[in-house]
Amino acid sequence: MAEVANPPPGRRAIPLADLPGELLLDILLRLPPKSILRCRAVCTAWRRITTDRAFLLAHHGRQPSQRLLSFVRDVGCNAGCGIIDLNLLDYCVEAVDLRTREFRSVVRFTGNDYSRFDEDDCPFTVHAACDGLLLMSYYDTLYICNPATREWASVRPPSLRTHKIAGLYVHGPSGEYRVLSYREDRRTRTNKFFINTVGSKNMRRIKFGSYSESMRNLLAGGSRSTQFDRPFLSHGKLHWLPQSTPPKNILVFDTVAEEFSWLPTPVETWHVVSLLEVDGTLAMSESRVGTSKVDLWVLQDYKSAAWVHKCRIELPAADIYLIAKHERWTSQVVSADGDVLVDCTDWCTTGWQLHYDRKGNLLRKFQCNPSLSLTTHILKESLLPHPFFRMQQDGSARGPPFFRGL
Amino acid sequence: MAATTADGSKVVGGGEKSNVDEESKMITLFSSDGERFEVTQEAAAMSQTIHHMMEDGCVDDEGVHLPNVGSSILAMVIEYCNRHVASPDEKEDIRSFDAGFVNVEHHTLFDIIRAANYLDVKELMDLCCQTVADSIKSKSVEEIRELFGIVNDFTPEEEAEIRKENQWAFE
Repeated sequence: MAEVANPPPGRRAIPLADLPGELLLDILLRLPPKSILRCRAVCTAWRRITTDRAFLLAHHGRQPSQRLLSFVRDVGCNAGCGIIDLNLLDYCVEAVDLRTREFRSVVRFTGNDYSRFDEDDCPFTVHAACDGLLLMSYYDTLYICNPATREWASVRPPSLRTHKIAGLYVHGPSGEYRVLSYREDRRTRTNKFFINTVGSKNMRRIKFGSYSESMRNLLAGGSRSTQFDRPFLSHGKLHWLPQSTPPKNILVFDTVAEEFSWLPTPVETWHVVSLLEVDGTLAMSESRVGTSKVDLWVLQDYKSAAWVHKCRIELPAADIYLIAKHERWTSQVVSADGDVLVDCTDWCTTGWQLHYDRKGNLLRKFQCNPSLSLTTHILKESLLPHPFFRMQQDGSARGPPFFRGL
Repeated sequence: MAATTADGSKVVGGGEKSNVDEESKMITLFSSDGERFEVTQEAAAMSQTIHHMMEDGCVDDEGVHLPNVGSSILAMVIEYCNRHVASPDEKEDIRSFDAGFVNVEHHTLFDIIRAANYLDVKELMDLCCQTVADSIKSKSVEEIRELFGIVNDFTPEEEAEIRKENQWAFE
Protein backbone atom coordinates (compact mmCIF):
# COMPACT_ATOMS: atom_id res chain seq x y z
CA MET A 1 0.00 0.00 0.00
CA ALA A 2 1.52 3.30 -1.05
CA GLU A 3 2.35 5.56 1.87
CA VAL A 4 0.14 8.52 2.41
CA ALA A 5 2.29 10.38 4.89
CA ASN A 6 2.00 14.13 4.77
CA PRO A 7 4.13 15.52 1.94
CA PRO A 8 6.50 18.32 2.80
CA PRO A 9 4.89 21.70 2.20
CA GLY A 10 4.88 22.75 -1.44
CA ARG A 11 4.96 19.21 -2.83
CA ARG A 12 1.82 17.58 -4.25
CA ALA A 13 0.84 14.16 -3.04
CA ILE A 14 1.30 11.04 -5.16
CA PRO A 15 -0.93 11.28 -8.18
CA LEU A 16 -3.91 9.03 -8.41
CA ALA A 17 -2.32 7.09 -11.25
CA ASP A 18 -0.95 4.91 -8.47
CA LEU A 19 -4.39 4.23 -7.08
CA PRO A 20 -4.94 0.52 -6.46
CA GLY A 21 -6.97 -1.19 -9.18
CA GLU A 22 -9.97 -1.96 -7.04
CA LEU A 23 -10.39 1.67 -5.98
CA LEU A 24 -10.24 2.89 -9.56
CA LEU A 25 -12.85 0.27 -10.46
CA ASP A 26 -15.08 1.44 -7.63
CA ILE A 27 -14.95 4.98 -8.99
CA LEU A 28 -15.44 4.01 -12.64
CA LEU A 29 -18.40 1.76 -11.88
CA ARG A 30 -20.26 4.79 -10.53
CA LEU A 31 -20.08 6.71 -13.79
CA PRO A 32 -23.01 6.99 -16.19
CA PRO A 33 -22.59 5.29 -19.60
CA LYS A 34 -21.68 8.51 -21.43
CA SER A 35 -18.77 9.16 -19.05
CA ILE A 36 -17.52 5.60 -19.45
CA LEU A 37 -17.36 6.12 -23.22
CA ARG A 38 -15.34 9.23 -22.62
CA CYS A 39 -12.98 7.43 -20.22
CA ARG A 40 -12.02 5.07 -23.01
CA ALA A 41 -9.99 7.89 -24.56
CA VAL A 42 -8.03 8.74 -21.39
CA CYS A 43 -5.27 6.13 -21.72
CA THR A 44 -4.75 2.53 -22.82
CA ALA A 45 -5.16 1.16 -19.28
CA TRP A 46 -8.52 2.89 -18.85
CA ARG A 47 -9.62 1.70 -22.29
CA ARG A 48 -8.77 -1.85 -21.28
CA ILE A 49 -10.71 -1.57 -18.02
CA THR A 50 -13.79 0.07 -19.55
CA THR A 51 -14.09 -2.41 -22.41
CA ASP A 52 -13.62 -5.48 -20.25
CA ARG A 53 -16.76 -7.59 -20.36
CA ALA A 54 -16.86 -8.30 -16.62
CA PHE A 55 -16.62 -4.57 -15.93
CA LEU A 56 -19.42 -3.80 -18.37
CA LEU A 57 -21.63 -6.47 -16.82
CA ALA A 58 -21.03 -5.07 -13.34
CA HIS A 59 -21.67 -1.57 -14.65
CA HIS A 60 -24.96 -2.63 -16.25
CA GLY A 61 -26.01 -4.21 -12.96
CA ARG A 62 -25.58 -0.86 -11.24
CA GLN A 63 -27.70 1.15 -13.63
CA PRO A 64 -31.12 2.23 -12.38
CA SER A 65 -34.22 0.69 -13.95
CA GLN A 66 -35.93 3.58 -15.65
CA ARG A 67 -39.51 3.76 -16.89
CA LEU A 68 -39.88 5.11 -20.39
CA LEU A 69 -42.28 7.90 -21.25
CA SER A 70 -43.18 8.51 -24.85
CA PHE A 71 -44.77 11.67 -26.26
CA VAL A 72 -44.85 14.04 -29.20
CA ARG A 73 -44.51 17.79 -29.40
CA ASP A 74 -45.73 20.07 -32.13
CA VAL A 75 -42.97 21.79 -34.00
CA GLY A 76 -43.89 25.15 -35.38
CA CYS A 77 -42.04 28.32 -36.10
CA ASN A 78 -42.70 31.84 -35.07
CA ALA A 79 -43.49 33.99 -38.03
CA GLY A 80 -44.62 37.60 -37.81
CA CYS A 81 -48.28 36.65 -37.85
CA GLY A 82 -48.05 33.93 -35.23
CA ILE A 83 -47.03 30.32 -35.00
CA ILE A 84 -46.94 28.41 -38.25
CA ASP A 85 -47.67 24.74 -37.97
CA LEU A 86 -45.02 22.93 -39.94
CA ASN A 87 -46.81 19.58 -39.80
CA LEU A 88 -43.80 18.28 -38.02
CA LEU A 89 -43.58 16.64 -34.67
CA ASP A 90 -40.81 16.08 -32.18
CA TYR A 91 -40.95 12.44 -31.24
CA CYS A 92 -39.54 11.94 -27.78
CA VAL A 93 -38.86 9.11 -25.42
CA GLU A 94 -37.63 10.00 -21.97
CA ALA A 95 -36.35 7.81 -19.20
CA VAL A 96 -37.48 8.59 -15.68
CA ASP A 97 -35.12 7.81 -12.86
CA LEU A 98 -37.52 7.70 -9.95
CA ARG A 99 -34.84 7.93 -7.30
CA THR A 100 -33.26 11.12 -8.56
CA ARG A 101 -36.53 12.25 -10.18
CA GLU A 102 -34.61 13.14 -13.29
CA PHE A 103 -35.86 12.92 -16.82
CA ARG A 104 -33.41 12.15 -19.54
CA SER A 105 -34.05 12.20 -23.27
CA VAL A 106 -33.29 8.83 -24.74
CA VAL A 107 -34.82 9.25 -28.17
CA ARG A 108 -35.62 12.50 -29.91
CA PHE A 109 -36.12 13.37 -33.53
CA THR A 110 -38.33 15.43 -35.78
CA GLY A 111 -40.68 13.56 -38.06
CA ASN A 112 -43.93 13.89 -39.90
CA ASP A 113 -47.15 14.74 -38.17
CA TYR A 114 -49.97 12.22 -38.12
CA SER A 115 -53.65 12.15 -37.28
CA ARG A 116 -53.49 12.38 -33.53
CA PHE A 117 -56.91 10.88 -33.06
CA ASP A 118 -55.91 7.58 -34.55
CA GLU A 119 -53.15 6.12 -32.44
CA ASP A 120 -52.46 3.41 -35.00
CA ASP A 121 -51.40 6.11 -37.41
CA CYS A 122 -48.37 7.07 -35.36
CA PRO A 123 -45.28 6.23 -37.38
CA PHE A 124 -43.04 5.82 -34.34
CA THR A 125 -43.41 3.03 -31.81
CA VAL A 126 -41.36 1.69 -28.94
CA HIS A 127 -42.29 -1.97 -29.07
CA ALA A 128 -40.18 -3.52 -26.36
CA ALA A 129 -37.16 -3.15 -24.11
CA CYS A 130 -34.71 -5.69 -22.76
CA ASP A 131 -31.30 -5.36 -21.08
CA GLY A 132 -30.75 -1.79 -22.18
CA LEU A 133 -31.86 -2.52 -25.75
CA LEU A 134 -34.94 -0.94 -27.33
CA LEU A 135 -36.95 -2.42 -30.17
CA MET A 136 -38.41 0.54 -32.04
CA SER A 137 -39.88 1.22 -35.44
CA TYR A 138 -40.33 4.22 -37.66
CA TYR A 139 -42.92 3.64 -40.34
CA ASP A 140 -42.35 0.08 -41.50
CA THR A 141 -38.77 -0.44 -40.48
CA LEU A 142 -37.97 -2.24 -37.26
CA TYR A 143 -34.75 -1.47 -35.42
CA ILE A 144 -32.98 -2.67 -32.34
CA CYS A 145 -31.04 0.11 -30.62
CA ASN A 146 -28.84 0.73 -27.64
CA PRO A 147 -29.50 4.32 -26.56
CA ALA A 148 -26.42 4.33 -24.31
CA THR A 149 -24.10 3.82 -27.27
CA ARG A 150 -26.49 4.92 -30.06
CA GLU A 151 -25.77 1.68 -31.88
CA TRP A 152 -28.54 0.37 -34.09
CA ALA A 153 -29.35 -2.53 -36.36
CA SER A 154 -32.39 -3.11 -38.52
CA VAL A 155 -34.41 -6.17 -37.64
CA ARG A 156 -36.08 -8.06 -40.46
CA PRO A 157 -37.82 -10.48 -40.35
CA PRO A 158 -40.44 -9.85 -39.05
CA SER A 159 -41.91 -7.47 -41.55
CA LEU A 160 -44.07 -4.83 -39.93
CA ARG A 161 -46.33 -4.85 -42.94
CA THR A 162 -47.63 -8.27 -42.01
CA HIS A 163 -46.58 -8.89 -38.43
CA LYS A 164 -47.14 -7.25 -35.10
CA ILE A 165 -44.57 -7.26 -32.34
CA ALA A 166 -45.38 -8.99 -29.08
CA GLY A 167 -42.05 -8.74 -27.26
CA LEU A 168 -38.26 -8.78 -27.13
CA TYR A 169 -36.37 -11.06 -24.77
CA VAL A 170 -33.05 -12.74 -24.18
CA HIS A 171 -33.18 -16.50 -24.47
CA GLY A 172 -31.46 -17.69 -21.31
CA PRO A 173 -29.71 -20.85 -22.48
CA SER A 174 -28.30 -19.41 -25.72
CA GLY A 175 -27.93 -15.73 -24.81
CA GLU A 176 -29.63 -14.79 -28.09
CA TYR A 177 -31.92 -11.80 -28.32
CA ARG A 178 -35.21 -12.83 -29.86
CA VAL A 179 -38.32 -11.10 -31.12
CA LEU A 180 -41.79 -12.59 -30.63
CA SER A 181 -44.29 -11.50 -33.25
CA TYR A 182 -47.65 -12.63 -34.61
CA ARG A 183 -49.63 -12.49 -37.81
CA GLU A 184 -53.30 -12.78 -38.25
CA ASP A 185 -54.31 -15.42 -40.72
CA ARG A 186 -57.61 -14.09 -42.06
CA ARG A 187 -58.48 -17.25 -43.85
CA THR A 188 -58.36 -19.49 -40.82
CA ARG A 189 -59.07 -16.69 -38.34
CA THR A 190 -56.14 -17.65 -36.22
CA ASN A 191 -53.01 -15.94 -35.11
CA LYS A 192 -49.66 -17.46 -35.83
CA PHE A 193 -46.79 -16.63 -33.53
CA PHE A 194 -43.21 -16.40 -34.69
CA ILE A 195 -39.78 -16.14 -33.15
CA ASN A 196 -36.81 -14.50 -34.81
CA THR A 197 -33.29 -14.22 -33.44
CA VAL A 198 -31.97 -10.69 -33.85
CA GLY A 199 -29.23 -10.72 -36.47
CA SER A 200 -30.58 -13.81 -38.21
CA LYS A 201 -32.77 -13.95 -41.29
CA ASN A 202 -34.58 -17.05 -40.14
CA MET A 203 -37.95 -16.82 -38.51
CA ARG A 204 -39.77 -19.86 -37.24
CA ARG A 205 -43.33 -20.45 -36.23
CA ILE A 206 -44.21 -21.55 -32.72
CA LYS A 207 -46.07 -24.82 -32.78
CA PHE A 208 -48.99 -24.84 -30.40
CA GLY A 209 -48.94 -27.75 -28.05
CA SER A 210 -51.98 -29.19 -26.42
CA TYR A 211 -53.68 -25.96 -25.53
CA SER A 212 -57.24 -25.87 -24.27
CA GLU A 213 -59.94 -24.49 -26.53
CA SER A 214 -60.21 -21.32 -24.48
CA MET A 215 -56.47 -20.75 -24.76
CA ARG A 216 -56.63 -21.26 -28.53
CA ASN A 217 -59.50 -18.82 -28.73
CA LEU A 218 -57.63 -16.29 -26.69
CA LEU A 219 -54.53 -16.52 -28.87
CA ALA A 220 -56.70 -16.39 -31.99
CA GLY A 221 -58.13 -13.12 -30.76
CA GLY A 222 -54.75 -11.45 -31.18
CA SER A 223 -54.64 -7.84 -30.12
CA ARG A 224 -58.42 -7.76 -29.79
CA SER A 225 -58.19 -10.02 -26.76
CA THR A 226 -54.73 -9.26 -25.37
CA GLN A 227 -52.65 -6.12 -25.02
CA PHE A 228 -49.75 -7.51 -27.04
CA ASP A 229 -48.43 -4.01 -27.63
CA ARG A 230 -47.60 -3.66 -23.94
CA PRO A 231 -45.39 -6.60 -23.07
CA PHE A 232 -43.81 -6.89 -19.66
CA LEU A 233 -40.67 -8.97 -19.39
CA SER A 234 -39.75 -10.53 -16.09
CA HIS A 235 -37.77 -13.63 -15.21
CA GLY A 236 -37.51 -14.94 -18.73
CA LYS A 237 -41.26 -14.69 -19.25
CA LEU A 238 -43.30 -12.24 -21.26
CA HIS A 239 -46.58 -11.05 -19.76
CA TRP A 240 -49.55 -9.24 -21.27
CA LEU A 241 -52.77 -8.01 -19.70
CA PRO A 242 -56.05 -8.82 -21.41
CA GLN A 243 -58.09 -6.16 -23.16
CA SER A 244 -61.08 -6.93 -20.97
CA THR A 245 -61.29 -5.30 -17.57
CA PRO A 246 -61.02 -6.13 -14.77
CA PRO A 247 -58.29 -8.56 -15.87
CA LYS A 248 -59.00 -12.06 -14.69
CA ASN A 249 -55.90 -13.65 -16.18
CA ILE A 250 -52.51 -12.51 -17.36
CA LEU A 251 -51.21 -14.19 -20.52
CA VAL A 252 -47.68 -15.52 -20.02
CA PHE A 253 -45.12 -16.77 -22.51
CA ASP A 254 -42.28 -18.90 -21.19
CA THR A 255 -39.37 -18.01 -23.46
CA VAL A 256 -37.44 -21.19 -22.79
CA ALA A 257 -40.26 -23.72 -23.08
CA GLU A 258 -41.89 -21.50 -25.74
CA GLU A 259 -45.30 -22.06 -24.26
CA PHE A 260 -48.22 -19.81 -23.45
CA SER A 261 -50.08 -20.12 -20.17
CA TRP A 262 -52.48 -18.25 -17.94
CA LEU A 263 -51.70 -16.57 -14.69
CA PRO A 264 -54.80 -15.75 -12.66
CA THR A 265 -54.73 -12.35 -10.99
CA PRO A 266 -55.61 -11.87 -7.32
CA VAL A 267 -59.32 -12.09 -6.74
CA GLU A 268 -61.32 -8.94 -7.35
CA THR A 269 -58.75 -6.78 -9.08
CA TRP A 270 -59.91 -3.36 -10.12
CA HIS A 271 -59.69 -1.77 -13.53
CA VAL A 272 -56.45 0.13 -13.42
CA VAL A 273 -53.85 -2.61 -13.45
CA SER A 274 -50.21 -2.56 -14.40
CA LEU A 275 -47.25 -4.88 -14.00
CA LEU A 276 -43.87 -4.18 -12.51
CA GLU A 277 -41.01 -5.99 -10.87
CA VAL A 278 -40.42 -5.86 -7.12
CA ASP A 279 -37.44 -7.59 -5.51
CA GLY A 280 -36.87 -9.64 -8.63
CA THR A 281 -40.40 -11.01 -8.90
CA LEU A 282 -43.49 -10.10 -10.86
CA ALA A 283 -45.76 -7.61 -9.11
CA MET A 284 -49.03 -5.98 -9.94
CA SER A 285 -50.41 -2.56 -9.11
CA GLU A 286 -54.17 -2.14 -9.05
CA SER A 287 -56.53 0.68 -8.26
CA ARG A 288 -59.86 2.20 -9.22
CA VAL A 289 -60.21 5.27 -11.35
CA GLY A 290 -60.40 8.44 -9.31
CA THR A 291 -59.77 6.90 -5.92
CA SER A 292 -57.14 7.35 -3.27
CA LYS A 293 -55.97 3.78 -2.80
CA VAL A 294 -53.42 1.80 -4.79
CA ASP A 295 -52.63 -1.80 -3.94
CA LEU A 296 -49.42 -3.62 -4.67
CA TRP A 297 -49.44 -7.41 -5.06
CA VAL A 298 -46.38 -9.59 -5.41
CA LEU A 299 -46.40 -13.00 -7.08
CA GLN A 300 -44.99 -15.72 -4.87
CA ASP A 301 -45.27 -18.65 -7.23
CA TYR A 302 -46.31 -19.04 -10.87
CA LYS A 303 -47.61 -22.60 -10.60
CA SER A 304 -49.97 -21.96 -7.74
CA ALA A 305 -50.61 -18.35 -8.78
CA ALA A 306 -50.09 -17.32 -5.19
CA TRP A 307 -50.13 -13.54 -4.88
CA VAL A 308 -49.31 -11.73 -1.68
CA HIS A 309 -50.68 -8.30 -0.89
CA LYS A 310 -47.57 -6.28 -0.21
CA CYS A 311 -48.96 -2.89 0.67
CA ARG A 312 -51.68 -0.34 0.15
CA ILE A 313 -50.69 3.23 -0.62
CA GLU A 314 -53.03 6.02 0.35
CA LEU A 315 -53.02 9.13 -1.77
CA PRO A 316 -54.57 12.48 -0.86
CA ALA A 317 -57.61 12.31 -3.15
CA ALA A 318 -58.78 15.81 -2.29
CA ASP A 319 -55.42 17.29 -3.30
CA ILE A 320 -55.39 15.34 -6.53
CA TYR A 321 -58.88 16.55 -7.36
CA LEU A 322 -57.76 20.15 -6.88
CA ILE A 323 -54.98 19.68 -9.40
CA ALA A 324 -56.77 17.44 -11.88
CA LYS A 325 -60.13 19.22 -11.74
CA HIS A 326 -61.85 15.96 -12.52
CA GLU A 327 -62.25 12.51 -11.00
CA ARG A 328 -60.89 10.38 -13.78
CA TRP A 329 -57.29 10.07 -12.72
CA THR A 330 -55.53 6.70 -12.77
CA SER A 331 -52.81 5.67 -10.35
CA GLN A 332 -50.15 3.04 -10.63
CA VAL A 333 -47.21 1.90 -8.57
CA VAL A 334 -44.13 2.14 -10.75
CA SER A 335 -41.26 1.04 -8.57
CA ALA A 336 -40.28 -1.37 -5.83
CA ASP A 337 -40.01 1.59 -3.44
CA GLY A 338 -43.68 2.32 -3.85
CA ASP A 339 -43.44 5.34 -6.15
CA VAL A 340 -46.87 6.09 -7.56
CA LEU A 341 -47.59 7.97 -10.76
CA VAL A 342 -51.02 9.55 -10.96
CA ASP A 343 -52.11 10.35 -14.47
CA CYS A 344 -54.49 13.29 -14.52
CA THR A 345 -54.43 13.79 -18.26
CA ASP A 346 -57.92 13.39 -19.51
CA TRP A 347 -57.89 12.98 -23.24
CA CYS A 348 -58.02 16.38 -24.89
CA THR A 349 -56.84 18.58 -22.07
CA THR A 350 -53.28 19.30 -21.11
CA GLY A 351 -52.94 17.38 -17.94
CA TRP A 352 -50.73 16.70 -15.02
CA GLN A 353 -48.71 13.70 -14.02
CA LEU A 354 -48.12 13.52 -10.27
CA HIS A 355 -45.37 11.55 -8.61
CA TYR A 356 -46.06 10.41 -5.05
CA ASP A 357 -43.93 8.39 -2.67
CA ARG A 358 -45.26 5.38 -0.80
CA LYS A 359 -46.32 7.54 2.12
CA GLY A 360 -48.51 9.68 -0.08
CA ASN A 361 -46.21 12.71 -0.24
CA LEU A 362 -46.22 14.63 -3.51
CA LEU A 363 -42.65 14.59 -4.81
CA ARG A 364 -43.11 16.22 -8.13
CA LYS A 365 -45.70 17.19 -10.66
CA PHE A 366 -45.19 17.79 -14.31
CA GLN A 367 -47.43 19.04 -17.01
CA CYS A 368 -47.57 17.18 -20.25
CA ASN A 369 -49.50 17.04 -23.42
CA PRO A 370 -52.20 14.43 -23.88
CA SER A 371 -49.97 12.31 -26.09
CA LEU A 372 -47.82 11.38 -23.11
CA SER A 373 -47.85 7.70 -22.49
CA LEU A 374 -46.13 5.87 -19.69
CA THR A 375 -44.94 2.76 -21.47
CA THR A 376 -44.49 -0.61 -19.81
CA HIS A 377 -40.89 -0.63 -20.94
CA ILE A 378 -37.99 -0.48 -18.52
CA LEU A 379 -34.59 0.78 -19.63
CA LYS A 380 -31.55 -0.39 -17.69
CA GLU A 381 -28.63 0.98 -19.64
CA SER A 382 -25.82 -1.24 -20.79
CA LEU A 383 -22.56 -0.81 -22.67
CA LEU A 384 -22.17 -4.49 -23.46
CA PRO A 385 -21.31 -5.07 -27.11
CA HIS A 386 -23.61 -7.17 -29.27
CA PRO A 387 -22.65 -9.02 -32.45
CA PHE A 388 -25.71 -7.86 -34.34
CA PHE A 389 -24.62 -4.22 -34.05
CA ARG A 390 -21.23 -4.90 -35.49
CA MET A 391 -22.84 -6.57 -38.48
CA GLN A 392 -24.54 -3.32 -39.37
CA GLN A 393 -21.38 -1.74 -40.76
CA ASP A 394 -22.79 -1.16 -44.23
CA GLY A 395 -22.18 2.53 -44.78
CA SER A 396 -24.91 2.84 -47.35
CA ALA A 397 -27.67 1.73 -45.02
CA ARG A 398 -29.33 4.81 -43.65
CA GLY A 399 -29.75 4.60 -39.95
CA PRO A 400 -32.90 5.39 -38.00
CA PRO A 401 -33.55 9.02 -37.02
CA PHE A 402 -33.99 8.21 -33.33
CA PHE A 403 -30.96 10.03 -31.92
CA ARG A 404 -30.74 12.98 -34.29
CA GLY A 405 -32.45 15.43 -32.01
CA LEU A 406 -30.40 14.65 -28.94
CA MET B 1 -9.31 -14.28 24.14
CA ALA B 2 -6.09 -13.61 26.03
CA ALA B 3 -2.72 -12.70 24.58
CA THR B 4 0.63 -12.00 26.13
CA THR B 5 2.41 -8.80 25.16
CA ALA B 6 6.13 -8.31 24.81
CA ASP B 7 6.60 -7.27 28.44
CA GLY B 8 4.79 -10.34 29.67
CA SER B 9 1.59 -8.70 30.90
CA LYS B 10 -1.68 -10.26 29.82
CA VAL B 11 -4.03 -8.43 27.55
CA VAL B 12 -7.59 -9.62 27.35
CA GLY B 13 -10.30 -8.69 24.85
CA GLY B 14 -11.30 -5.08 24.35
CA GLY B 15 -12.30 -3.70 27.69
CA GLU B 16 -9.40 -4.63 29.91
CA LYS B 17 -6.38 -3.09 28.27
CA SER B 18 -4.47 -0.55 30.30
CA ASN B 19 -4.62 2.05 27.55
CA VAL B 20 -8.39 1.84 27.33
CA ASP B 21 -10.24 4.06 29.76
CA GLU B 22 -13.15 1.84 30.77
CA GLU B 23 -15.48 4.64 31.73
CA SER B 24 -15.40 6.42 28.36
CA LYS B 25 -14.09 3.45 26.36
CA MET B 26 -11.40 5.35 24.51
CA ILE B 27 -8.73 3.95 22.26
CA THR B 28 -5.44 5.50 21.15
CA LEU B 29 -4.45 5.69 17.52
CA PHE B 30 -0.96 6.57 16.27
CA SER B 31 -0.45 8.07 12.83
CA SER B 32 2.54 7.24 10.65
CA ASP B 33 4.36 10.35 11.85
CA GLY B 34 3.86 9.43 15.49
CA GLU B 35 1.01 11.73 16.44
CA ARG B 36 -1.40 10.43 19.03
CA PHE B 37 -5.21 10.52 18.71
CA GLU B 38 -7.75 9.55 21.34
CA VAL B 39 -11.04 8.27 19.98
CA THR B 40 -14.04 6.49 21.39
CA GLN B 41 -14.16 2.80 20.66
CA GLU B 42 -17.46 3.36 18.93
CA ALA B 43 -15.98 5.82 16.45
CA ALA B 44 -12.89 3.67 15.95
CA ALA B 45 -15.09 0.68 15.23
CA MET B 46 -16.35 2.41 12.08
CA SER B 47 -13.02 1.25 10.71
CA GLN B 48 -13.48 -2.46 10.12
CA THR B 49 -9.70 -2.85 10.23
CA ILE B 50 -9.51 -1.41 13.76
CA HIS B 51 -12.74 -3.13 14.74
CA HIS B 52 -11.29 -6.54 13.87
CA MET B 53 -8.08 -5.67 15.68
CA MET B 54 -10.04 -4.83 18.81
CA GLU B 55 -12.12 -7.99 18.56
CA ASP B 56 -9.10 -10.18 18.02
CA GLY B 57 -7.32 -8.66 20.99
CA CYS B 58 -4.51 -7.33 18.83
CA VAL B 59 -4.55 -3.88 20.37
CA ASP B 60 -1.62 -3.60 22.74
CA ASP B 61 -1.00 -1.38 25.74
CA GLU B 62 -0.08 1.61 23.68
CA GLY B 63 -2.87 1.60 21.14
CA VAL B 64 -3.14 1.05 17.43
CA HIS B 65 -0.28 2.03 15.15
CA LEU B 66 -1.31 3.05 11.68
CA PRO B 67 1.91 3.26 9.65
CA ASN B 68 -0.02 3.90 6.45
CA VAL B 69 -1.93 7.00 7.53
CA GLY B 70 -0.45 10.45 8.09
CA SER B 71 -1.67 12.67 10.93
CA SER B 72 -3.58 15.28 8.94
CA ILE B 73 -5.51 12.61 7.03
CA LEU B 74 -6.10 10.54 10.15
CA ALA B 75 -7.48 13.63 11.87
CA MET B 76 -9.99 14.04 9.07
CA VAL B 77 -11.03 10.41 9.10
CA ILE B 78 -11.53 10.61 12.86
CA GLU B 79 -13.60 13.76 12.46
CA TYR B 80 -15.79 11.89 9.95
CA CYS B 81 -16.26 8.89 12.23
CA ASN B 82 -16.99 11.03 15.28
CA ARG B 83 -19.64 12.96 13.40
CA HIS B 84 -21.28 9.84 12.02
CA VAL B 85 -21.55 7.98 15.34
CA ALA B 86 -22.71 11.10 17.15
CA SER B 87 -26.07 11.52 15.44
CA PRO B 88 -26.54 8.86 12.77
CA ASP B 89 -30.23 9.62 12.36
CA GLU B 90 -30.10 13.30 11.52
CA LYS B 91 -29.97 12.75 7.77
CA GLU B 92 -30.08 16.40 6.71
CA ASP B 93 -27.26 17.45 9.06
CA ILE B 94 -25.11 14.53 8.06
CA ARG B 95 -25.67 15.27 4.39
CA SER B 96 -24.47 18.85 4.72
CA PHE B 97 -21.55 17.72 6.87
CA ASP B 98 -20.57 15.20 4.20
CA ALA B 99 -20.83 17.82 1.46
CA GLY B 100 -18.52 20.13 3.37
CA PHE B 101 -16.20 17.27 4.27
CA VAL B 102 -15.43 16.35 0.66
CA ASN B 103 -15.04 19.94 -0.40
CA VAL B 104 -11.26 19.66 -0.35
CA GLU B 105 -8.47 19.61 -2.87
CA HIS B 106 -8.36 16.52 -5.03
CA HIS B 107 -5.05 15.18 -3.78
CA THR B 108 -6.40 15.38 -0.22
CA LEU B 109 -9.50 13.53 -1.34
CA PHE B 110 -7.38 10.80 -2.87
CA ASP B 111 -5.36 10.52 0.33
CA ILE B 112 -8.60 10.13 2.28
CA ILE B 113 -9.73 7.42 -0.14
CA ARG B 114 -6.53 5.49 0.39
CA ALA B 115 -6.76 5.88 4.15
CA ALA B 116 -10.44 4.90 4.19
CA ASN B 117 -9.59 1.85 2.07
CA TYR B 118 -6.77 0.80 4.41
CA LEU B 119 -8.93 1.42 7.47
CA ASP B 120 -11.95 -0.11 5.73
CA VAL B 121 -14.48 2.61 6.54
CA LYS B 122 -17.13 1.72 3.99
CA GLU B 123 -19.33 4.82 4.29
CA LEU B 124 -16.38 7.14 3.88
CA MET B 125 -15.15 5.15 0.86
CA ASP B 126 -18.60 5.41 -0.71
CA LEU B 127 -18.77 9.13 -0.09
CA CYS B 128 -15.33 9.90 -1.49
CA CYS B 129 -15.49 7.58 -4.48
CA GLN B 130 -18.87 9.02 -5.40
CA THR B 131 -17.44 12.53 -5.09
CA VAL B 132 -14.58 11.68 -7.44
CA ALA B 133 -17.01 10.00 -9.85
CA ASP B 134 -19.26 13.08 -9.80
CA SER B 135 -16.33 15.33 -10.65
CA ILE B 136 -15.33 13.08 -13.55
CA LYS B 137 -18.81 13.33 -15.06
CA SER B 138 -18.37 16.97 -15.94
CA LYS B 139 -14.76 16.75 -17.14
CA SER B 140 -13.27 16.49 -20.57
CA VAL B 141 -10.73 13.79 -21.38
CA GLU B 142 -7.82 16.20 -20.87
CA GLU B 143 -9.19 17.33 -17.55
CA ILE B 144 -9.59 13.73 -16.40
CA ARG B 145 -5.97 13.01 -17.28
CA GLU B 146 -4.84 16.05 -15.33
CA LEU B 147 -6.95 15.13 -12.32
CA PHE B 148 -5.45 11.66 -12.09
CA GLY B 149 -1.96 12.54 -13.26
CA ILE B 150 -2.31 10.18 -16.21
CA VAL B 151 -0.07 10.32 -19.24
CA ASN B 152 -1.80 9.86 -22.58
CA ASP B 153 -0.25 6.77 -24.15
CA PHE B 154 -2.42 6.64 -27.27
CA THR B 155 -1.06 7.53 -30.67
CA PRO B 156 -2.98 10.45 -32.22
CA GLU B 157 -4.57 8.01 -34.68
CA GLU B 158 -5.70 5.66 -31.92
CA GLU B 159 -7.21 8.47 -29.92
CA ALA B 160 -8.99 9.89 -32.96
CA GLU B 161 -10.46 6.45 -33.68
CA ILE B 162 -11.83 6.11 -30.16
CA ARG B 163 -13.34 9.57 -30.22
CA LYS B 164 -14.93 8.84 -33.57
CA GLU B 165 -16.59 5.68 -32.27
CA ASN B 166 -18.86 7.70 -30.04
CA GLN B 167 -18.41 11.27 -31.15
CA TRP B 168 -21.45 12.54 -29.31
CA ALA B 169 -20.04 11.42 -25.94
CA PHE B 170 -17.15 13.85 -26.30
CA GLU B 171 -19.16 16.95 -26.98
